[in-house]
Amino acid sequence: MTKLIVMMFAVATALVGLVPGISEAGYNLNHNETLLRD
Amino acid sequence: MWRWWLATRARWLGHRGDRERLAGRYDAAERLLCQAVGCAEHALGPDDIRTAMLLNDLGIVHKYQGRYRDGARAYLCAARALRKRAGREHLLMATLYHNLGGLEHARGRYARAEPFARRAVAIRERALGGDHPDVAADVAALAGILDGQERHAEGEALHRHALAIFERRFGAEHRDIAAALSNLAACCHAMGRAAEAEPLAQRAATMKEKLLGPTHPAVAVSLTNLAVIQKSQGRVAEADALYQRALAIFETRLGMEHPSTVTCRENHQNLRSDTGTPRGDEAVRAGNA
Repeated sequence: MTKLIVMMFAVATALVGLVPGISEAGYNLNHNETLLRD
Repeated sequence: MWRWWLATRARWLGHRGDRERLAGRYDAAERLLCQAVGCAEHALGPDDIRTAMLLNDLGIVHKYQGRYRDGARAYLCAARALRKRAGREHLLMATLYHNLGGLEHARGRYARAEPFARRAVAIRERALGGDHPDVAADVAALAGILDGQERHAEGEALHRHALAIFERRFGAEHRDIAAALSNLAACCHAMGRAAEAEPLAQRAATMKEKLLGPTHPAVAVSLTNLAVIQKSQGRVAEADALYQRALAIFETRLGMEHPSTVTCRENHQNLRSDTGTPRGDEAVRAGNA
């Protein structure tokens, strides 16, 4: 039982670790968008 | 083992938070990123570079939520950690300078924003060369800040420069291209060139709708700008319809008191009062009378 829990923990961690980062350029930059006032 | 798990969880939550932010769901993004920062601080420490970058992402979300003080706090915590761990000339510091400039831009404090934006451009240009899309993003952000100071000719030149790099590197459609088109349109409008501004704003709105979905707050920004441009050309009915659509998006996605909602509502009310059309609340009162 302990082995199973440890294995599930390791598999879950590995899967989460494999989550791709957002590799697109500039994803952690904000846009300075102009909102026009009238 | 527990710390390792917490660090992994921070990464997972940060990834999900970034996804929510890019989709324009800022409240959900904030919840996830706050949890991610908590996990990262516990597992990696407050001065770790990964913790700093999660704080940077949280700062961006706060800016888009209109919570500028919270955004400044998150950025400054991140900057402190990065300066300690990476040094003042690191690329991640350029990211923070870019975003600190963006925060001041959103607050309308353009003169304060400009030095941050220029430092971001200088650091990243030295490291990556002038043709990199991240450098173009810094240049585009600086252009928006110059526009805010009514230095439209300088702003236009930089908008066009950034746009050319984005189009060369990303192809015809990309969210950075859409944002640059939207800002270029606003710049042309400010210089009295509404006929030139309109197709740019239209293209930006269409591209954003396709890439981000029809109810993303960034779409509402372009719809609002398009409405202002159309009103300036005397096309009041079209402008009114665009304002209604933009306002519905802003109110639903950002809330009634968000600065963008307030600006759009005031623009719409100005249009209605200029044309003698009753405002929405007045029409309801008249209907109930």
